[in-house]
Amino acid sequence: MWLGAGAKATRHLAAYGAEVIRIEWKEKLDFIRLMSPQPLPGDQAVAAAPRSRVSDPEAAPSWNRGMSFNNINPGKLGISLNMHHPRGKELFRRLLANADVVLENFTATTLERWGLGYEQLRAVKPDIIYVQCPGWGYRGPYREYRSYGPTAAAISGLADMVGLPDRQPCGWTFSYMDVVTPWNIAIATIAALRYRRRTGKGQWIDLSQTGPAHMLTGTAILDHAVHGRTYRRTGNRSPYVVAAPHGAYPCAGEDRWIAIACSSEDDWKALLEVLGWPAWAGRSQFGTLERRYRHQDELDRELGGSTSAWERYALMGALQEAGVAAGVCQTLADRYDIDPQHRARGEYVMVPHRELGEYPIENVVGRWSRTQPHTGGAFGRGAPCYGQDNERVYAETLGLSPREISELEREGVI
Amino acid sequence: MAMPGLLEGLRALELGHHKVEWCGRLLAGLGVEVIKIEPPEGARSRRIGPFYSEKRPDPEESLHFWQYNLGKRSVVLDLASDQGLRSAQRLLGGVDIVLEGLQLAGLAEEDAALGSSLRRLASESERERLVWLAMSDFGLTGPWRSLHASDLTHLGLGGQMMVMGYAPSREGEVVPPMAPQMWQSYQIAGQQACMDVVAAVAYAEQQPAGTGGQLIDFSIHAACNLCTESMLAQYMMGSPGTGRHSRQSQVREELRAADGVYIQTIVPLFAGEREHLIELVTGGEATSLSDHDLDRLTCEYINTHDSEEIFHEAQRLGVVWAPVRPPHGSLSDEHFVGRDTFVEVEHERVGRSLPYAARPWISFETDWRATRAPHLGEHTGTILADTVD
Repeated sequence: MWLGAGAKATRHLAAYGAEVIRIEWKEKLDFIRLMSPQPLPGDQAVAAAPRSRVSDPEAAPSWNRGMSFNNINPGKLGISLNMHHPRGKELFRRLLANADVVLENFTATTLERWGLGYEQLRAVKPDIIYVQCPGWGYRGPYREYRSYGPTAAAISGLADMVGLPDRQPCGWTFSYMDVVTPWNIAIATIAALRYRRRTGKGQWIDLSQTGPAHMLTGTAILDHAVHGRTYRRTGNRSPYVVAAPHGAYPCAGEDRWIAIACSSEDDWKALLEVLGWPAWAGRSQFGTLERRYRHQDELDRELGGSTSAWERYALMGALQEAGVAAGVCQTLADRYDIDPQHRARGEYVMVPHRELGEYPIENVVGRWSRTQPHTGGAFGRGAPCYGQDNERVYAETLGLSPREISELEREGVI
Repeated sequence: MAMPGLLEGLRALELGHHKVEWCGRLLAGLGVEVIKIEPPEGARSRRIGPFYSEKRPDPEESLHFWQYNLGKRSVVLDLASDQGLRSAQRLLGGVDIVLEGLQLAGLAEEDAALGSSLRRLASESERERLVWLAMSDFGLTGPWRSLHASDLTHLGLGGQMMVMGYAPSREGEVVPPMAPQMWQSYQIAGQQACMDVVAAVAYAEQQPAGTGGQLIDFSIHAACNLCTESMLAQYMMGSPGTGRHSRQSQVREELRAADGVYIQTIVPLFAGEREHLIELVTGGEATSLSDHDLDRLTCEYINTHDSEEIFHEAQRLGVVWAPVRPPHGSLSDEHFVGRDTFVEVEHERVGRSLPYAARPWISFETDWRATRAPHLGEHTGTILADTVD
């Protein structure tokens, strides 16, 4: 597993307590290891570039400080293994014999080309669960096509659905399907393990990044099938529930916003009470919910004029107190530095890391009463440095001697 | 014979707000028998449009309800009555999972009280055995636990909106942050809640009978916070962070194909991708170009070809582009047809079948389930009779 969509799935499995062994090889390094390296004290500030281009692994000062990499891979063991070397394949088969699941997200036929397709995996471990997640899946004519998160959002309609009706879609900006796909992979894996326990049977799960994306387009496909309508973007306005105002409104400060959703007369009155009954609110076109829904251009303009003097959290507090659904459009800094709910519920934790000491990471969502998962996994730690657990895995799991291990290193196998 | 579902043999009760429905739909797809408890007037999601007939919106014909309740069974219980509560209590004795959306802000106080009383009603031994998902807007604890929320405000607080939207126009017009529509916050939460439930069930089944269940206090707010890719992580680790419209992966106005369809391009990441891109946009005439020329030629190439031709030619050359299709735009695409991604589901009441995206992955051992959403109370008789026996 590498990059985002695959490796995040094993992060979830590790959080539930699975022993995840991440296999890597330096000649085809997961380039996320090199992107946006975390500075150490004394380093120069990180470049402001949102996504640094892939740099040369040889020139990189470290392979272990990529911020995304370390966020995606906590709780796992990491080993180096050259899968192109005959002895590398042999070691892989020995690991496989001890494993329950093989997960990978290379292009669809990569493992097959390595002589490690499902049938070959089964020959070693008859009840293996093989979960593969190429961009477009194994079956189907686009098997050799590739996909990143935005590709899957585009092909499925998810990108088309976001934005204003009279402009181009703005899309998702971040790779939504790099976040959702891992949830699917983890669900498939855990459910397949349960199935195996009950039936004794393993299976090959042919997942993709593009397939699950279609499930998230809500009623747009049904609406087209029934009414022949192509989904029309509505900006922030509520497409199916009569609600107005329903949008993001400016607050005091630069680029500061609050989301407000009113779906009843009570909401509307409470909103006006908080705003001090501005004069514009008395216009007849705002007299009923139905009319406000029809006159949202004007309503949004006027409301924005009234909210812009407010400090955003103060307005959120006042509106919530009055019973209105309102929430600050939180920035990254707001979510980490301000959000009192996240602080109170411990949504951020520190995990130890061999090179960085420790670093902060998001906690898991659920609060379980009996067996609380933890982002640091069974080992209670951050992402593995390159080859960090070679000794542990090769010596303890496979029983290799120190001499054998150093020979494998010399031969370029590990 | 149809292949079994991955989670066949499990039963779940689903009750409460439509925010919990996506989790239930996923479990039903995996083969869990999901019993939806509805009040006598029907779940509120039956009144959300669009409807099959717009002239005559009928709670039995909400496309929204159909989409989010595919494969479930419906039992009508009046939980405000003693009899209804007793029936619910009996049902609790026969299920493995409870999906509870009663503690949600915005619901009446009686609903929240009902959540607590149901938990009390479940006998101690049942509580010890059951995986009980309590999905709420902000979690059952913390200073924001009672705040009001909607899909839109969740996406605001969750951070999606502040990283999505348009760049300011040349005239300086600022467009507000954009929320993705279509109940994404509930889907974001439902997917993750489903993952938790499946993991908790797998754990419970390996413990001695009656000792492996647990309560999962699940917050939609926290779930959304985990859904802006690595942006938050990078900020936490010391990067200044990215704002809205800063990513080059967004759809660009000038990248519109000759047939009017936008093309989703992506900044070359892998070694070799830039070279493939140059080959694509110059027809193999050049091997290197300045950034400026590459961008200009990319626009020219896209503007002068049809989107499907661009898609296949780009992917053939290793350029990871795709057309920005409408949501129904892949229904007849040979790839998704070949993968059976869309499933025709019979709706006998309206006399036709309708397509659902209902097979997110393929296995040769197990399969996804897709039967139409239930009519109101369709299974009340059979399920309550079974329970009494």
